Amino acid sequence: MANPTIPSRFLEAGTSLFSPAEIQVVVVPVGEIPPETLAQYCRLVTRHRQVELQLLRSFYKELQKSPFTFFPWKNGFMHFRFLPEEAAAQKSALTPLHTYRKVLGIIGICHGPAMADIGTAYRQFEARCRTYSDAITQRCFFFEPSDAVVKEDKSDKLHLMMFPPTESGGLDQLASHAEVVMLDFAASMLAELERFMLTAGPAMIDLNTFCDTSDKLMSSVSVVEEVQRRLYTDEEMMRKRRYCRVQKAMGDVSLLAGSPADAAEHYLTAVDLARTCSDSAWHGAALAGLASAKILESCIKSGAMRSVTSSSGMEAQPRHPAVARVQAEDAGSAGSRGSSGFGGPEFWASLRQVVGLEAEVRALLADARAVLRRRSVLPLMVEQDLAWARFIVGLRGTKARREVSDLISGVVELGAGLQFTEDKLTNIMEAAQVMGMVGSLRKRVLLLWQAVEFSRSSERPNLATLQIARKALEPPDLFDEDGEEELLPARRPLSAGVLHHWSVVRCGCIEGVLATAILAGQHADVWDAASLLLREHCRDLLPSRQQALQRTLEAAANQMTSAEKRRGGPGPPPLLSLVRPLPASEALLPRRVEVKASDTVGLAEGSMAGSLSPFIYNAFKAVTGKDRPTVPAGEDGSISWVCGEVATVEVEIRNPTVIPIKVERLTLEVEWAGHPSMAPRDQMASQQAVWKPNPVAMWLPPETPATKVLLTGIPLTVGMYTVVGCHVTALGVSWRQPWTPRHVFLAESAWPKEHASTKEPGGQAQARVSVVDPLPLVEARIEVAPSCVTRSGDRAEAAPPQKESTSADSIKSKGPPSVALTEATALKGQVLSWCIGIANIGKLPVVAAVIGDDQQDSQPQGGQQRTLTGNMKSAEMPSLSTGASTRAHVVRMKMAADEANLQASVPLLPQKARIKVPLLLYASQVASYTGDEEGHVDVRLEYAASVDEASRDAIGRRITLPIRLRFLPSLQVVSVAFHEHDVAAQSPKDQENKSPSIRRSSSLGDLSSASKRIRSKASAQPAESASLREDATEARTAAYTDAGVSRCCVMEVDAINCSDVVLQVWLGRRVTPAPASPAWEAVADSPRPWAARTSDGHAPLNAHCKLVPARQRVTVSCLVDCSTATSYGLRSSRWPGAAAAVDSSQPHAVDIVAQELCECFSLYWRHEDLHDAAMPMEIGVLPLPQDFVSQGLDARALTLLCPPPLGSPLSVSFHPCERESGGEMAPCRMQEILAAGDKVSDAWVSRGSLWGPSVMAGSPLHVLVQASNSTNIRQAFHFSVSCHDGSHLRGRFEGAFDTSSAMAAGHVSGLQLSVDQGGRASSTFIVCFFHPGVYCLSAVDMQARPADQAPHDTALGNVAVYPLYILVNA
Amino acid sequence: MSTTVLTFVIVGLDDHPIFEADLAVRGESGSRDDRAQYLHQFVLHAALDAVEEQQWQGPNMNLGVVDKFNNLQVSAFVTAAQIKFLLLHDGKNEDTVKLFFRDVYEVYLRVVMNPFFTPRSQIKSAAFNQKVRSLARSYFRS
Repeated sequence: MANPTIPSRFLEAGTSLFSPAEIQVVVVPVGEIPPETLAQYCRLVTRHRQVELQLLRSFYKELQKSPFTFFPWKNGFMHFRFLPEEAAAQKSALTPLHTYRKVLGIIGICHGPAMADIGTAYRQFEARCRTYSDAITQRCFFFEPSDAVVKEDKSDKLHLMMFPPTESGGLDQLASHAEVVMLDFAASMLAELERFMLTAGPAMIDLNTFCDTSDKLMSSVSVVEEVQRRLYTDEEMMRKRRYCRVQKAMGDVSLLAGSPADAAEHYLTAVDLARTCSDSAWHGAALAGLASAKILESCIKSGAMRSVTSSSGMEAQPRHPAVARVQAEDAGSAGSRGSSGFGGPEFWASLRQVVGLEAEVRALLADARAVLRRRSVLPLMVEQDLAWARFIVGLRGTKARREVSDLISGVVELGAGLQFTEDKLTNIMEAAQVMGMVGSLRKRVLLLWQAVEFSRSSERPNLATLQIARKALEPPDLFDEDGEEELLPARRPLSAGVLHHWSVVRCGCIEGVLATAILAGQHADVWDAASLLLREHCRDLLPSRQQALQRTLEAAANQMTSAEKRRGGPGPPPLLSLVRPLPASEALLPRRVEVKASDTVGLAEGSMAGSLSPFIYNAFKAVTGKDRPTVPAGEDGSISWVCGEVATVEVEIRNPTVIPIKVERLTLEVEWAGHPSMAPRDQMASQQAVWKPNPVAMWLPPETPATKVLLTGIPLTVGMYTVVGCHVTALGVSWRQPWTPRHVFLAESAWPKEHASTKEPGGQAQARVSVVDPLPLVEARIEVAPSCVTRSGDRAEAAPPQKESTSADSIKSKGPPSVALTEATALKGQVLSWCIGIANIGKLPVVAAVIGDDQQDSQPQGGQQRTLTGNMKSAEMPSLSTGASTRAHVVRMKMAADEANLQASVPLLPQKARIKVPLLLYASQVASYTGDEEGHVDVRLEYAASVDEASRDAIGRRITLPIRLRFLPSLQVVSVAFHEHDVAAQSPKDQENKSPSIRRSSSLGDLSSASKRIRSKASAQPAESASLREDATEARTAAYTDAGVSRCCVMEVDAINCSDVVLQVWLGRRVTPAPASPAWEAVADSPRPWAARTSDGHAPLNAHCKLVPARQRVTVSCLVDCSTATSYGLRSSRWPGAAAAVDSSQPHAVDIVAQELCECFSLYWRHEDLHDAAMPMEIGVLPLPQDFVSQGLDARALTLLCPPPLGSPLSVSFHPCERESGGEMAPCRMQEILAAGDKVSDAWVSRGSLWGPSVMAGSPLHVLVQASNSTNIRQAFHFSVSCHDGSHLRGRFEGAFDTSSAMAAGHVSGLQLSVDQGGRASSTFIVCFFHPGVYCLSAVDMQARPADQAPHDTALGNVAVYPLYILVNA
Repeated sequence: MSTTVLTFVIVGLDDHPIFEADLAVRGESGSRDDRAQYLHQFVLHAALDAVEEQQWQGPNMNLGVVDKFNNLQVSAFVTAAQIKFLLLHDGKNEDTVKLFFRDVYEVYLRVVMNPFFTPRSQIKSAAFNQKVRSLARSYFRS
């Protein structure tokens, strides 16, 4: 480090009004020290820029009497400015003038492991110290000493300070050690300064310094000075000058020692002396020093320095740019925190409190300026102006902009007259920096550009010029370089800069950098600048310029070292823009699955149960469908990838230049943001291998428009990933290309659209991806059981289902979803018994799995949705659905899987045999539409490797296997009718012993022989049906069971076999098909029509099951079991009375009953090939069309099915003994009654009761009067019974049956019955008919009232009364 | 005729130059060198700082000469919507510049009346360019 003998500069960068208080200390690394270690040691030193005098006191040995009168021991500070060797080596020409420009301290830094022995190190340090002749205090810090070094005798090494090894106490111990050492350093510095003060005298002053002799500092002696000089003798002048300079130097030293009050005194004396001896430079300098002393005094008094030290702890932290920005905006005064550490919002706020400081300083500096102008001491003028500008920027922030602008304009103009080139440049640079601090960024850019131009023209070293050029692109340094940064200048990448808007200006700055970098031979900078131009300013460049830049890039790439070839920042085109990270294919997508075994069944049932809703859109169902989010972990809606599986990102790539680009390697680059459950240390440890990209190479022709490219990679760790960009290798150089902002990428405009943030890198927001734990992989396919329908006919082609297996390869590649499209043909309503084959082809065991059908509507079509919500009317009318003329009617199928079988098979280990789970597939098709239908269902298999026991939730996968079926017509319902039917009841015991199906069968067996007549067919007699409803009050029938007979309702369905095969058809209770369900197996195994009679000689139990040849019509019937009427009956609240029930004002009652009937009964068919035993049985179930049912339901049937709350039927009690004796009491055929009552017309028959007992004339008949009460209060019944000739039924009843007549004998009058809520009460009487004929017994004057009400309160006719017809034989 | 400096720029929001015209009468030497071009742009760009300082000082749209750099001067005119007209010249008469700005403003208003014009869109109208040039010729010929 040669000390140049002739100084080449006056100005120093970063000079402020606080600089006079800063002791310059050079930090010298001794020996080879690794940069990181050196930075660490430097930080230990530079932390102590301010040293509190109070703390210093214990280290200070008062060897001599202090020369300072006002030394502020309590609240004063010493300030240090640490310089790197390079900066300290450039000796300032102003050192004779300003003591603070001298390097007064030296701190050497030795790193133990790097040094051979301590003696050599110390000798090196001493050699370095000799370079700095002005230095008064030296220290050599020795870090990490070895044991040998520690033991060595160091008595001859005065300035050596040993630091403890790091292993013993870590960095904290080093820091506290450094603090002590630095206080000691400051104390010895103070002692040295005091010694200077005590020994200072005029004799030590040289009047012929560089400042006096050089013509570069000031102009020649003016006339006034010449006159003044003549007034005094030269000797006197010399003496005064000496005294003046001594005082100035003493002032400087006082200020450095931290005593501004002493300094002010010395400066005042110096000013006075200088005035008389016209020593202009010293005069001006003393005035400026006085201003500084005043400021520092204010600092101490106002406590401003306290704020600096209190924030110095924060200083030690790496300063975040955002924090710096906030601080800068805070009153705009963060500005001039120099390397000294003066500054900061609190510091300036404290100074602002000092009244009159600014005015005083302004006045002093104006004086100084006036003095300096007299001899035009330009460097000092410029320096003071800059320092003053910095001061007011700090004090007033951006509010001082106007004044600072003017000041700086003046400074720049003044600067043109500076003699040294270096000074000129420093002046411009300083001006630029102050402009940046005050917020005039554009002027700063102009000044920096000017500086670059000047630097180039003055042939300065290109490297220095390059630094200036780079600065123009960077944001302004709101803070001067920190000490540590100054010591170790960090090389920052060429930033995108602050000039987003005026592209030509930006281009100019980049071109400046490029040109200087080429000259300086900085190939990396050449690469960066050329890349930036091509990347962002392609639109502004001519093709020839682009080609030139490409050549520049190639040349730079050839010259760069291999380390430089790995560029960190963005490089030249291609431009990249993120489109989106692609989720895995449907079958591989990780999703949250609920692996509850019962869940899927519940869902399947739920669609049925929800059919009560009158709304097409069911909000609850919609939520249920959505509550399985496809994305399990992405809290911000990001997509998920699976750890260890290929992930794909869609990227757009573009080459805006006219040069073809050959990309040798393009890989995706991600940043791993860690995993919430992982400790930060683990995250650091596993930082290495989180992503394995799959590289691609490509060639981009000139001006390639935005082209989509799929880039892949494999995430290797669980956690959040951010896709940050790509890693591009071209021309042998590799760099990280972040996403280009969208507006630049598309080159739509030179700047982003309104409200678009220019700082937002393109697509960052959507680039977040969560990576979940490895998941198992399962292959599933539908396996069609042998029972599959494969029919050949004119319309139905044999269509064996295609099996598409999902191989691991096809899954891993980006092929279509791995599902098998299965198509087959079936008859309508057919229940298909298939299998799903599942095999684990992954590496993890499947712990939980469920099978369900996809409830989400993939084909929103009118008819289909309505089927789902239960409105079958519209579902069965294909004309309502769109495009029904061209397309087959689409129905939604249901699926039932054997969950128990599946659950028994898990866990499914990898590479194990395929398991088969039985499936039942069926569609709830209504048996009325004759056209072909299409059915579809998506069988969904969800599986996971682990399950959260608490919530039964897991991250797993879902395979969806769509199944398409073509349904051919099977049965078409033509009409539905209901009949009243009485059957001889079983004794209660018998009934209990028999299963419901048997009971029904036996009832039907009786029915087959019983007389019955179709009372109404809605399709045939619509008019009559309407009239029936009008006088429905008369149609009162009984539906109850007593010991004798049971009055039931029979449903009769007329259907046509539309298929080509013989079908067995029957009507039965509805059973939801489910594999391995006993109820369903019972249905499937229900007896054949040709089954033999039972051994006890009863009629075949399954007589209701009928064989129907193709295209034939059949009528099947079923007893609607009235004993269970509550299941399809209506609650009393919905049933205000028998009369009201069938009233046209309440039509919904019919619909409700019809709907419930449709839900309770289904039409079944079965097809068996008797000749080919290998052909399996086919079975189908068809719901009844609801509108046919409701058309068939007339008032009578309705009353039968839904008995009104109050009723009083009459019935005949078959006395056991009577039955045995004669058997006449058996129920007679209706035809017989009709035949006997020859006057009974058809019209009457259609209305009246069709059943009656037949008795012998003269035999007693037990008649039972029963009152039933379904209301919720106790009721009192009052009625009488009358009898009249049944053949004259059109007349009115003739009164109470209280006297014996020619026809009958008996007496029932004024019967009183009190019936509890929900109960029955009965009374028996005996009648005897003497003459054959038809008689009618009927209750008259029937009243019912709540038991606690008076009789007169109750109106008549609120009770349903059922007449009883009796056939009396001769 | 000697080469003069006369560059007119309209600066939209956020320092986006939306119109640029070199109105100087060229000698036969042809186009300027890059350095001068850049210098002019830098000076115009830097003048925006001065415009910002001065635009709220008075009610006038015409701010006069706002900035100087060596022998270059920048006159500015700020519209109500904060669109800035900048003219870089080498010492033209202030009144002439004022009149020029006023007339250009008239023409500019017609451009603004286009419903598709936003304060960020570039003015690409050839008619506007033509008009500005003819105005410059008429005002700054001598």
